[in-house]
Amino acid sequence: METKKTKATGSETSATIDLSEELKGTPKKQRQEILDAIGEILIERTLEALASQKSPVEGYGRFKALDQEYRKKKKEETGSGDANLDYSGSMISSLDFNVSGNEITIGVFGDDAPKADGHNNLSGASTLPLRRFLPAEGETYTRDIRKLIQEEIAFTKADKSASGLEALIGDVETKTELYALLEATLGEQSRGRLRELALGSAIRDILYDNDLLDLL
Amino acid sequence: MSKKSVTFTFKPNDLANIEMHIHKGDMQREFQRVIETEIKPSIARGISPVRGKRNFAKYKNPARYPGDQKQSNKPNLELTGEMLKEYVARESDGISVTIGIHGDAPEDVLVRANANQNGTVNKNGEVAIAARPFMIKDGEEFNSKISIAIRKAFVSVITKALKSMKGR
Repeated sequence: METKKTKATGSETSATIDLSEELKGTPKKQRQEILDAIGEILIERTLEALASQKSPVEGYGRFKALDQEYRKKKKEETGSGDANLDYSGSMISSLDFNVSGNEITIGVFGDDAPKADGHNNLSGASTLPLRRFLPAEGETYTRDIRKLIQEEIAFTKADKSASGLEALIGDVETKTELYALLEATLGEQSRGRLRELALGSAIRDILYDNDLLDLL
Repeated sequence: MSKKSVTFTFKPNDLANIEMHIHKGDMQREFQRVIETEIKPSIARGISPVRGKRNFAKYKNPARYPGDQKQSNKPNLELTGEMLKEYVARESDGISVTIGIHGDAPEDVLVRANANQNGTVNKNGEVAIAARPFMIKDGEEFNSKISIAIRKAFVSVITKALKSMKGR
């Protein structure tokens, strides 16, 4: 999920992320729903990282502390001297995303866009200390965020494939047959992972209805 | 002002036939863990645990409230800690678990919980307290990280029940 391109204008500071690789094997009709969920994950995780004074972008780690003078001023006005990019709240409230094809564009849209570029320096023109919360071209999100996205995709696909399993599950009698069917549906994975996806998704209902839960 | 509980109940009907094998307290323990490790930390950072709600609304007039009682630019539903202390998981009948602030919480906590969850308006119809939703309602979901933790909580409970069913 690398960033393909970035934009830094007076009304938009954004990164466009390609998710083709992550969506491989996902039926087209499920993609929009999954991409919307991923966009929301990126927003939530970015807000969470900022609240912890950390970058959500791989390789940047913790933000540099504010310089003493600004820190004092911020603390007086907001009660917090943290480098959390949250002074009035208007910039982080303008963080949003949109989906096009297999891509998500995440960024700050509107009047606060230049402020966002000041922190991210996607334009290359900022003189502020770098506190990057939008990945630049070729960059990606941290491992924990990527893992969460993979989990979201895997469980959503498991939910969506449950109804398709109904027609096939009648022939299953043994544990081997059940795991073979789950593997054919969810892709090659360990039995532990297949069990987790089945029990944590709508597949559980299908197995229950067919008295097959105890084969897991 | 409303003094109703602010809760949500998870009731997986498809587990009815393994209900007797689900260890008492397992469901409650797993969900309490989700509350402590996922939901409360999100609230503490000023982020709603409800999908799509993002950051909690800022204070309207921080000089007036919270004033110098707490950090003024990060509403995190915590002043004395009394309200979030009541945010717990409870097993109800058999396989269902209810999480949130329950009806037997102190009255003042219930009043605050409802005001935060739903917001309030003054007599002119203007927002007095902004809604800062910390609990899902019907048709809503927790954010992705919490939802996955809940899925895994169910997986853990069911896996144990299935093992005990098979005498393993």
